[in-house]
Amino acid sequence: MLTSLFYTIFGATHASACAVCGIGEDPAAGAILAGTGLLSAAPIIMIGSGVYYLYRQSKKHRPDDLHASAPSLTAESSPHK
Amino acid sequence: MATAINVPGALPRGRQPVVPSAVIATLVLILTEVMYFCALISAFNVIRAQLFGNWAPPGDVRLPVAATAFNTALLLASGVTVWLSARAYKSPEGRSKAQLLLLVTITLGACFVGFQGYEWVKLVQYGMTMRSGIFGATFFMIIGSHGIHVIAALLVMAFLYMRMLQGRLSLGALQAMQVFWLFVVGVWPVLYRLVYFA
Repeated sequence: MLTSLFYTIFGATHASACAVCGIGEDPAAGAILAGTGLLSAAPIIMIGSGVYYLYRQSKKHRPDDLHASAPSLTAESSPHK
Repeated sequence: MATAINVPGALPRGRQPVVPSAVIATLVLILTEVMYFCALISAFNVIRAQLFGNWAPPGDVRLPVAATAFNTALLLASGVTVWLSARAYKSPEGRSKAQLLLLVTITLGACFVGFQGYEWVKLVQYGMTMRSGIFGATFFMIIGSHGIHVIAALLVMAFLYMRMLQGRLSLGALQAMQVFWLFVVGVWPVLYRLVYFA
């Protein structure tokens, strides 16, 4: 983690020399970085939203109805009378 | 004295999934398609940025912004009707209303595709093709990809409409179709803003 922090602070100039990010034309470099951000964030946002949606849907059908409709054994119905 | 013991882990008979499997499968498909369109949009932005100042249609071609705005309104309206159709289909009394709304959705979608095709023919006649330059190539690639999705969705929707008429359409299948159509409708304004106002 300290290594990552070190390179984040002191390695920015090296990142600018990247053939893709530091392409020389500022509008193109901005477009590439924006595209990278979009393509990185999109799956995380979509998968997170999907999981949250399924979680909310499952909360509506909580284990309350599982206990209510599960088969139960009573003393009267026990075969070992 | 009677004691009741619940059997742990036992599922009630006939338990339905909280979200239909068809809807979940469609959501996974939409996830991949969103990534596809994100890649196209990103590539479009980079190419346009590299040609900053020289980004224009070839020759005297002007993109039909106003006509496409009307088309966009048709597509957005179809999104509303498909949502209403799926909602009406939940109750037996709303089945006939759902049929009508689904038919309206198919009609609006077909009109959208028809108008887009007509505009494309005009653009090609004026000299803008996939080979006329990078502008035409990216335009037809992005808009054409969306058009293919719309046509495929319309074909599936027509098939589901036939099943609805026969009384053999499940709510899950209709909801899955609804989700995919809403995706197609939702992507279009983004592409319209990006490509037609570049």
